[in-house]
This record gives sequence, C-alpha cells and structure tokens, in this order.
Amino acid sequence: MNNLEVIEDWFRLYGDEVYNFLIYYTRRRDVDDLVQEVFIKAMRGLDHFREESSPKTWLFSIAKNVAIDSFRQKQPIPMDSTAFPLAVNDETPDDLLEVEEEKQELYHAIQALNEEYRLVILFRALKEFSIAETAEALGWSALKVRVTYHRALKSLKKILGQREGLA
Amino acid sequence: MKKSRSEKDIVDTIRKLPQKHKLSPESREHILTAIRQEYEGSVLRTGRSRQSSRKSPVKKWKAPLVSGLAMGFVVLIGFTLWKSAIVPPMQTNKIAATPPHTAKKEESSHTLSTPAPKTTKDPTQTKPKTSINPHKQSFSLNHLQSPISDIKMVNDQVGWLQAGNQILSTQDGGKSWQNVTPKALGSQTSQGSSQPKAEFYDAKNAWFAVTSMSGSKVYHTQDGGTTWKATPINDKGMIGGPLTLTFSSANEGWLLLQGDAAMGSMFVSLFNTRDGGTTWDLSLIHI
Repeated sequence: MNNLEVIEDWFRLYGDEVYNFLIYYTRRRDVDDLVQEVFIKAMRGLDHFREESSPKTWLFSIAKNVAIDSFRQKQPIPMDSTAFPLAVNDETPDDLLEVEEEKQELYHAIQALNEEYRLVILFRALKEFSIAETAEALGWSALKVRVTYHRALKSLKKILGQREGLA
Repeated sequence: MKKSRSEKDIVDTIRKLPQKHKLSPESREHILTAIRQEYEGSVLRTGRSRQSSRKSPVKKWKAPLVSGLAMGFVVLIGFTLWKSAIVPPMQTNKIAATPPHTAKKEESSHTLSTPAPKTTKDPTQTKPKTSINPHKQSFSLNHLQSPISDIKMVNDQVGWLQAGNQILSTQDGGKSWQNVTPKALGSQTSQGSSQPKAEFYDAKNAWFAVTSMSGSKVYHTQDGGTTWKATPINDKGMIGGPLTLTFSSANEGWLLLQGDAAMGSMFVSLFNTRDGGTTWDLSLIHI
C-alpha cells in the first residue's frame, strides 16, 4: 500500500469517529475542515508514524492538536447547543425525555470542565480509550491520565450536583 | 438529573451520549479529493512516489538502538573525562575514602541543610547578587542524580552545569560546585519524553525549561541561581517536553516544545519571549 491508500483506508475507518470527537471537543458542528486537516497532516507525517502506536490513537492525537490550533486562530467559540441535537418532540415518552434531558445536562457539564478535564473525559469515558491509549494520544504519562481522569470525574459530579441544587 | 449519581453512573451515561454524527457524502468526497491532491503534490515535490516506507522490524529498531548506544557511550566518556578534569585529586580521594553509607548520609544531610533558593514573585524586584551566595554549600559531582548533559563556562572561573533536573554553578573554575536547582522543582522528574533543557547565558542569567505533571515551565534566574522565577507555558497539555531552549540576548529567547511524546518529534510548538522569559508567546505549531 502506498501512503495514499493507507490514509484513504484510515479515513474510511476512522473519519466519522474523528468527526464526532471534533464536534464534542470544539463544540461546533462545522468541523469538516478540521477533519480534512487531520488526514492531510496524517498524510504528511505518515513516514514518521511510529508503528508501535495505533493509527486510531495517532489520528486522535492529531485531531486534538488540530482543534487546539483552531482555538488559537479563532475567537473563543460560544457553546453550540446544536452540536448536541436530541430527537425530542411532543410525542417523546416522559421517561425517554428524562433520559435525554439527563444526557443534555451531562453534555453541558462536560463542556463546563477545564481543558484537561474535558480532554480526558472525552478520551477515557466517551471514546473509551484505555489509559495507555489516552496517554499516547494526549502525550501524557499514564499516571497523569489516571489522576486527571479521577479529578475530572469528581469535578463533573460536583458540577452536576450544583446544577441539581439550582434546579 | 437524578440525585447522588455515582461516578460509574456518570461514565455509563457519557458512553451513551450520541456519537452517530456522520460526514455528509459531499464532505467525504471533498476530503478524499483533498487527500489525493496532497498526495499528488507531495509526489511531485519529492519527484518520487512516496511508497509506504514502513521499515522492517530490524530496520525499525536498528537506527534508534545504534544511536542510543552511541549517545550513551558519548555521555559516559564525557562524564568520565569531565570528572578527571574537574574534580580535584584531593576531593576525589576524600570521596573514594568515604564509606558508601557515610556518603549517603552526607548527601541526605546536604539536602536537608542546603538552603533552598528563594523564589520571588518578581525577579525585577530582587537585587542581583554578584558574589557567591555564602549559604550555598559545596556539592560533590558524585552526588549527581543524572549524567551531565550540558555545561557552559562563562569565563575561566564562572560556569554552569546541568545534570538532568539539577543545575550546578561554579565560581572557582570548577574546583567546587553549588547546587542552584530551582527549589520549586523539588524531586519531581520530567514527565516528557525529553529531558529539561537549560540555557546558560552569562554569569547571572540562566533559563531552565522543565515539563512535569503540571505542564511546562521555564525558570529564569537573574542572580546566578540564587532565586528563580517560574513562568508557565500555555502548552495546552502538549507535554512531550522541551527540545530546545536558546537565547540570542538576555531578552530574546526561543523554546521548542515537543507536542506529543508518542509522536516522536512530529508535533512541535515554538514559543518566543522578548522580555527575558516573563511572557512566552506561541509562535507556531508544526506537525
């Protein structure tokens, strides 16, 4: 396989996953350009890709950096509630509505976390990366992943508790 | 939200958050076209087809292994030569005559009794000290925790030395050394894939870039290591570690940080200071 075939293959396999991650991380829906940048950068760096790391972890690492780069280039982005569309309508059963509200509240609580906490929650909890994969994707030590994830969950619990108290 | 949700419940709910967004067919095609154009462009630029350069297992390990062994050998030889050239014969004899347990005791008592460098919030308010700090104690090179990785003699008497996370200075041409490591560093070790980087500019000014659990920081002394001021670098969690730290003047400096340890040197961010390290601005990210 030449480099083009490898990247096309990875795009087919992980394109939508990267797309979803970028939506959550950037809080925007219009992240197509960022997805493109991720795979272009992967193409450029493929010769230096270390095969001991998995393509998926590597691509997510690039995605994280591309997103950070976009934060620096643009003004702070207001939270986009359309990034989290819920299929809720008048006919939605009450129990389902409750579940969806719960998810929506959780989504907003995640977005209220600081940068590191948000990243580790997205990788460990949402994308279900292992500690080693998260460490690799974020360029952190395994210890930092464990500690930060633990603190992030505590912080998330606190935010949810506070919101509940306000309700 | 239900009351008293456990962390496990929270994680379970996060895992159920919708992740079914899909790129539209148009976007997908557009991205694939861009990838193909990039590939064709790269082929044209290099004048050769960029066939997959995946190395065989032997090739993959050979280069890093050889370079690693070579580097280790050079450091070992350098350290041996340095010891024989710098440590005075009397001191060497004294150290050699000291039983190991006594030497260890001396080391720990040194750690406890050595006054830590004072850290001030604003170094500009600190009077630079031109004389040797009388509180500083002599430090035997045998007590270094890591091999010497950098050394600079400012003149025939004054010099600096870096060994891993430790910074030492000499005021007498290397006859004796003082541990001037920033106190805030404590015993923490670098979390990044690369070691801390030091820049010894002159007898008073030095910078020390360190990546730890809390991120990257650049320490700056303006008084020969007596006090250090730490400036955090806004590296957004890209903690691969410092690759290069260099100053063209006492104000103008550059710091190259490795973005992701797992990526080798692929991700780097370049920071620039124009005020001697008080503020650092991101200059570029290169992938």
